[in-house]
Amino acid sequence: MMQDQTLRIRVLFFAIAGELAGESSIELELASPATASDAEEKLKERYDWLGKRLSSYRIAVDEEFAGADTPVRDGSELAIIPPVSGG
Amino acid sequence: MADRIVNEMIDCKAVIDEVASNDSGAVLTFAGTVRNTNLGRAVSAIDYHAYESMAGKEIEKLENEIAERWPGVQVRIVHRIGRLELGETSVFIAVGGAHREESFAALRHAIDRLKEEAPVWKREQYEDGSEAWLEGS
Repeated sequence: MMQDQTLRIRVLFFAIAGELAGESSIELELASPATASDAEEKLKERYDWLGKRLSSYRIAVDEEFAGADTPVRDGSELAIIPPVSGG
Repeated sequence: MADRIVNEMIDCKAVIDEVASNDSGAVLTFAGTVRNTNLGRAVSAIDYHAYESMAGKEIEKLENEIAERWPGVQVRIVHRIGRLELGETSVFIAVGGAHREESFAALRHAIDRLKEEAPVWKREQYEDGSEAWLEGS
């Protein structure tokens, strides 16, 4: 059985995160298998501003709030969710 | 069933009609509106952004959670996004229930949880021409 060693996900940046990233979405490659936590680590390397903010941010994988162990799959959509302010 | 995230003025009457029935002894509504100040700054308008697909799902989950917790209570929640002027309604919630006690509790729960869980953000426009994303609150 053929195994793909990397997976590609789409990362969405919302609100202040989009402003800080300078774009609303990027593609990210991760070694397979991967979790939300692996994606966070990779994003922190790329974005200095993200590291200190992640403790107050939430992550969603495929439109569901995710934990550190939530798996991400090839084609997953991972969203960076700053503290929400709707209502 | 109407959309939970809309780009235009919320049709409040249509939202009420979705929860009101002959079983209802109480129909309650909540409208969140754009206020002219926040944290001491003069606000001129608010641009609401959402992770639309997820926000719709989160609202649906919240509606289902309320229906389970308060059997017989029906709730519908609609959030508007885009640029809203002062006084315009950003969120509208309607609750229909047999009795007022459970209906008030469900309504309070609906707005509190919406503000915690729905991926929606305000970008405030100020009287001085500047603007800023709100993080939380």
